[in-house]
Amino acid sequence: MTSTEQIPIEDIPQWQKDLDQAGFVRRFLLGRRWFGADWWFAVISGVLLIFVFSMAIFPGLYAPFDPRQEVGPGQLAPGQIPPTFVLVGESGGATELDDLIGEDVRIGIVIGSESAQVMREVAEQREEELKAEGQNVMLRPRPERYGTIEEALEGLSNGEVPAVIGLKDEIEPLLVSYPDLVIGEALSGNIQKPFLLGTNQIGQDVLSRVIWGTRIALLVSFSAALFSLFVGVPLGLIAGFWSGGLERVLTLVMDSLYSFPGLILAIAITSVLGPGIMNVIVAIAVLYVPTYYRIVRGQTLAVKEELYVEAAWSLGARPFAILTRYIFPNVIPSIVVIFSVNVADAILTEAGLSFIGLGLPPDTPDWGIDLASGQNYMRQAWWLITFPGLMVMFVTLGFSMLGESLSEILNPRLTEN
Amino acid sequence: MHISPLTGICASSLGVALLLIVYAFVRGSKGLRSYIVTRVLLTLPMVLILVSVIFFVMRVIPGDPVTSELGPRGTPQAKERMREQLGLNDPIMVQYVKYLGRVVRLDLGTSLVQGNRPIVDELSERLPATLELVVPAMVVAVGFGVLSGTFAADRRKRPSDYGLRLFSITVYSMPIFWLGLILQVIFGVGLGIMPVAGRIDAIVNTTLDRYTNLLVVDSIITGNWAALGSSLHHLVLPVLTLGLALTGVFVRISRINVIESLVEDYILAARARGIRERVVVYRHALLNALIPIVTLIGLQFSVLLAGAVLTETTFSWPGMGLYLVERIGQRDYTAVQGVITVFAMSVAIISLLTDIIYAFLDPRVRY
Amino acid sequence: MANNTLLNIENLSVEYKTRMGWVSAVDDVSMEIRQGEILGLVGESGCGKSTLGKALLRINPPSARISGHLWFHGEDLMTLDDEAMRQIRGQRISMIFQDPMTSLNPIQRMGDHLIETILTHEPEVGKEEARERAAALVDRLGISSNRLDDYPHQLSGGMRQRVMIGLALALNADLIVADEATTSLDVIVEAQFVELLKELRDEFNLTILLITHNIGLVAEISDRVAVMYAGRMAELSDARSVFKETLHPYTQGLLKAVPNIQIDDDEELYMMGGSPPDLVEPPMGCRYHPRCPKVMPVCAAEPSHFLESKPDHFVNCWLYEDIPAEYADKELSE
Repeated sequence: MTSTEQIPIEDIPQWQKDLDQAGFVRRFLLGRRWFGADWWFAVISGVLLIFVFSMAIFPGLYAPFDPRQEVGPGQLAPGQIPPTFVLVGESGGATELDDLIGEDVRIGIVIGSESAQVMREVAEQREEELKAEGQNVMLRPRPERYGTIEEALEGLSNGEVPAVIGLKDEIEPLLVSYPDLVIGEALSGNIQKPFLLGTNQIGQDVLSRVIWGTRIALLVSFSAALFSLFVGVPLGLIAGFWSGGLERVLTLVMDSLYSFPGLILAIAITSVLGPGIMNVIVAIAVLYVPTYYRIVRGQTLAVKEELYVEAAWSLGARPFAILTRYIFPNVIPSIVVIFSVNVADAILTEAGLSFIGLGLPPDTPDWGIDLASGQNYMRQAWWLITFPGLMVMFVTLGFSMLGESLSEILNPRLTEN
Repeated sequence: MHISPLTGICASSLGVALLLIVYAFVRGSKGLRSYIVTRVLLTLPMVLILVSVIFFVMRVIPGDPVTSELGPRGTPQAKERMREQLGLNDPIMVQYVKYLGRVVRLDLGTSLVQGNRPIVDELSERLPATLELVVPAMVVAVGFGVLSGTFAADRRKRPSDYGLRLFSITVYSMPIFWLGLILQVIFGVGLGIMPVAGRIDAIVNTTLDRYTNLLVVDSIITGNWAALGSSLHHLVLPVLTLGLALTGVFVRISRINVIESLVEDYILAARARGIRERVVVYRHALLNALIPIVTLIGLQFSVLLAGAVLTETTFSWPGMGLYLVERIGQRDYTAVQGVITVFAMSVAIISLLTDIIYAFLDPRVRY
Repeated sequence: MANNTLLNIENLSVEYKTRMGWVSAVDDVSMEIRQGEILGLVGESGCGKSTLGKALLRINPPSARISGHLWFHGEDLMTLDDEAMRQIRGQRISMIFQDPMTSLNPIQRMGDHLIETILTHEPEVGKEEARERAAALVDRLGISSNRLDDYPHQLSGGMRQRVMIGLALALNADLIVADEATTSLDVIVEAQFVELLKELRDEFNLTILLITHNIGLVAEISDRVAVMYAGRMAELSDARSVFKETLHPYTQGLLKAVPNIQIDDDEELYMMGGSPPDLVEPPMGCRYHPRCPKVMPVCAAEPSHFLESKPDHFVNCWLYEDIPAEYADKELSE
């Protein structure tokens, strides 16, 4: 007479029946009731991370521009519309730059403004275009400098110059006094949309760089964390399972490495290896091997003593079977938690390395590199350091929040009775 | 005989460590004594391993210090001269043994730039700056982190707990140099009330006589209050940056450990005896949790050093971290190797000390 | 109701919030604890007896919901605020825990446990005096007072359990709740412990609620015995009546399941069918009915009541209660 035969079906708890019938999705939703805010932490960070992943895999879908291309004027604040320069001429006279072909045509500009540069750039571009069409012409106007825009317009209406180039916003209100002047073509600022996060010192779009930076950060941190997982976990399992002299030496080495400041070790390695994405991955991967090793070895030692493992031994299970079937499954939750925390840490380390100027080639769209170059423009352009840093923070936050809530959920020592 | 500040500081901190160890040795039980002896003996291979790892990382990894030093355009003659000068033509094991011998004598070689000064002399100017930054930061982080972690544990699963946890994860997730930059932008550039670089105002600096190179200590012993004010003023942002970055970790460590001790039977038993809740949490639970917390704090020391490198870079703080970064930029690899060796040795000593404190704090015999 | 009642438990219910829902660990329990008695509270693991003991001190985990009344010296403990309740704990009602190893703070010296307890409740006492009292107390319990400076791990299991008793006695508490106090002790130490408890009861006129699953222990030491099943009180009477004139079918089964050295070789130990119910969704009616050999139709439908069926002998079973008319004629369908 065994007692199980006697249990009426009613005695199986309802929640267990529910769970047996519930699919994966429902089980997942049931977790909300069990784990409260930790469940929300995990879910929110999960959603955040899915978004981040999609950004890393398809940065082109999110980024409006090429991260390396200089798409606008330098140091444009977020939301600020790039200034538009226009050509002003007399009505019936020149209204386009093409009307001013020649080598000694003078165009009025204001001293110290960017108008001269705009004029030169657009003129060169037009000349190229005209030449490509087969017209052999010179389009090289010279600047006639005035102290203020009013003086320049005065000069234009006096006939001193055939045209004036200036900021559209400044000229428009003044035209009331000069009825015979008209605004001609716009010479720059074809982009009338503001840059959402501004532009950096050389006119690259900050938003696009920040989005493309996700790819580098995730590539480096994931590869590094995976690499150390594949080295550290087997080593830890073996060391915990077969204790001995070799295991002691290995443990000592791992403990020493673990106690050493990770970033400094990574600095040492990358400074010797030189720049390159593989080198950074290797340098960071080395840091986390001891983490996996220590945790996995510790747990293996603990699980090895459990009764059910001893029972398996006594039933004649092979060491390999015990290792893979009894011990390894017990270690998986910790590995998941460590992995996610390590990825977070690797992102920070990678950013730190690039910030110092080690690791990646300097024009890489990378958060650390952008922060380092932004530091020089901190006083004028706050957005250069704010957004890459926020991005590092959010992605790191996603991974550490996931790790934290998973460890809270998976750690049986923390469950209340 | 000239005693450099580095030797002085090394000697005095080793002295303090030694005193602590001797105190624990004398006060402790027989088990503790034998534990201390084994642990001290275990430190030697640990230092050896770290020093060796540094040596081999710097030498054996593909990538030749001479090439990276002179660049690909260095002439073969120049390279050869340099190899000879650095002893790189010796077999690797000979170099290794020579290096170990030098490390034992605290001789870290001479710099390859700036008049070939001994690395030890250069570091003796830098180490105090790092200490002055790291020690207060650690105090801030431990004080705030442990207390608020305990508070969160006591309020487990209530809004203040979730709030503190979110805070701790957020500061943990901030790149430390970015935190520094933001503080600089707000308090230095925006409000203009805090200096953003250096340890002391240049003008005040000329009036300060330096003995220990710890500016706060120097200005107190010479009674130079202007210098004290200025150096404290310069300390605020870097210490805040480094301290805040570490706080997150400590909140987390303390919270988990206090929670684990709060579910113990003796906590319920203490409550059943009518012990006040405050005493139960902050004396019974926290003191028991402190034992693992001390060890974990010891391990965080390496995070602190890594953080110091970045903080010093951000605040142009002339400590060992900035030195390391500068010398990497100048390809002065003897200096790089030297400063990393010093980092390694301090890590080993700190880990020795925390282990002994741990054993001393925990009355249970389980060495 | 006898007039020497020390603590009167009225309709006490305790529910825990768990991942599976609310667990009804103690359901509508009423009983009295009399001055100077040793009341044994027995039942299987998980029947709610420990929860009941903790509820008397209101030290259940925060996830618990307690309702009912605890009349103690004319006031209802359930209405006291946290501070007033804290002063009751240790001073008026104290507790001896199951595992003396884990129930003592590992980094607090033995003496400090006692001194802290004394000073918390009697702040006017000096530290020296508290120490002297602690020394006298452990001396009475058979521990040399020079062990006051030892840490818990330096003492043997028996000594630790004596210290736990000392902590419970330190302030002459009116009621001592001993929660599985002997479970972790070996048989010899347990016998000494029981002997000590008896002595102390006579010496200090203690009232003890002895919570245990060890029926032998209860039989040996208790004046009265209460039997709990699945969060409800099954039977309560003086020890002789419970063991000799057992009324409740559950108690009968429990007693038959106790191994006895004099058991005949051919007489098999009784094994109760089924297993204790899931308290998230306990069975309708009497919670014992799925396992009860004497089950009736009414048992599955309506809960029975805890009534005095013989003088001073309470039982919670339809066998001893008037069955409502609509169930009286029905036959058991199965």
